[in-house]
Amino acid sequence: MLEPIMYEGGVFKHNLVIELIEDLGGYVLQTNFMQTEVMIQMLCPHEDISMLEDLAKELRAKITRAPLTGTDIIVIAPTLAYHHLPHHSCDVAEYMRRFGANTTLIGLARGVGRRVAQISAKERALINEHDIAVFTLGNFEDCLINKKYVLYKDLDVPCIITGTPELQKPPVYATDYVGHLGRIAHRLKGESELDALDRLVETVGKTLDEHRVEISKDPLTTQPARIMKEIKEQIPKINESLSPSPITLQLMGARVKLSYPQYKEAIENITFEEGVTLREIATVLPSGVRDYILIRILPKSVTGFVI
Amino acid sequence: MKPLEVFRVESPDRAGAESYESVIRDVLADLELTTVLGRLWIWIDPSEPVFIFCALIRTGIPPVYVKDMADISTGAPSVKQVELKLTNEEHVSTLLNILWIEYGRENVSQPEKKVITIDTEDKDEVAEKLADVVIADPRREIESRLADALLRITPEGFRVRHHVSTGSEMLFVASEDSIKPEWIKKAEDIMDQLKEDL
Repeated sequence: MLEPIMYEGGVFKHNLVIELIEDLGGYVLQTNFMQTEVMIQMLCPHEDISMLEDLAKELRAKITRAPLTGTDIIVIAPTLAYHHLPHHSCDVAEYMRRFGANTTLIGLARGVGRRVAQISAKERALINEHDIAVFTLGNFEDCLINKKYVLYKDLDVPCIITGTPELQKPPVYATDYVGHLGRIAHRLKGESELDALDRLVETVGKTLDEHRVEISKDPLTTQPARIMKEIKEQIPKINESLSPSPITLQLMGARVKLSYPQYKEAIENITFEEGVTLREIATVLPSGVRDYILIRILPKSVTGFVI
Repeated sequence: MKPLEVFRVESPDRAGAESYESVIRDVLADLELTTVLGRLWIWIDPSEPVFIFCALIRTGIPPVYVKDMADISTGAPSVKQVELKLTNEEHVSTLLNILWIEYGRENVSQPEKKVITIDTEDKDEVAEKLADVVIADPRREIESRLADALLRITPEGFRVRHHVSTGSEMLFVASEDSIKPEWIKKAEDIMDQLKEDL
């Protein structure tokens, strides 16, 4: 199993880390340079982490486990009005990015109110494309428990709800709940607010880990990170994308920011060194985001092999 | 009445009310309304669902007239123009716009930074009339800011609204269902209590 790791250290000799990860069979997902500092998000084989730790110690760098690395999280506000944005919905989305997640923020068309709150089939399909959904809801317990569940009751992905009251157990249909994170009209920088954000990251990480364990029982035919590597090597057009993350990794696949009608064939024809093509081990679907491509890797139980 | 001498946010859900109070404080601070409101009482019952907002507005700043920002003179009898010597430059752009509309661009000129002249045949009448023209009315601006604050504070789904607004008080009831007479009655009771010992 690959562990999501974040490396923070100096630029000096950081290529040794990248080389080590590649030698160990891990993947470098993203490298961000900040003047003389570098932050590398990577996936490292679980049993070899100690080697990485030794190297990091030698280079005086910091290694942390970043459970949100390589995941695609969607943060959902009831609407895109100033009642919810930029605080607290954007703050939640931004905070999770610091832990390696790729977060998308959407506002529903008619998610407000109690009796009138609703979600459309298109919104639901879009949310189901992601690994986990975080609903940023409001202040009142009655609304959270008795009314707002209509927004997430039919979703297939795990849903984490945030709101003001401290609830004994999550609202019905929700996977988990994080309190003290309801409607707030200022930037979340108070101590208790940051604590709440940390609890949210912890909860999301825990839910993702549970999902990872679930996937490992019937492992995917290949790692999403390997597909990312092959796309970068075999479809040079992806390197021309201006998007901050042209390939967004997910737990069970990836979203590729290329046009579906134009590049479906090319993506399906990607060949691995074991001799299989991508069409044999994954389904390539149109994404709900623009005309992008969604890749869903098939599990071992379907293909009969793992590469 | 002192700024926000009464500030109550009440609800059967106590945690919700406390959090709502923080939202209201932020919105009022963002829109610079903390010194404008004297007393504020908000009642929210999500199970009804109803949102009631009652506020007493502090009597604010008077409107700004042309005579407050300029000395108006007609000069020598042979000169057919009115001269404005500006004492306060804060609202000059608004003043120029008003003068252009009223007297035409070709008749209004600004030879110096603090001098505006208007060419006219009957200068005495113009000088007299001009003195009492309102250039800026902070009270109207406050009303629009207050309306903005109300829209930001009210729960977003509560789109059925009832409001009574006079220069010194604001009563607002919102819900997502039809407004019930008892809610308006409750709002009026709250307003009466707010006005006690004024």
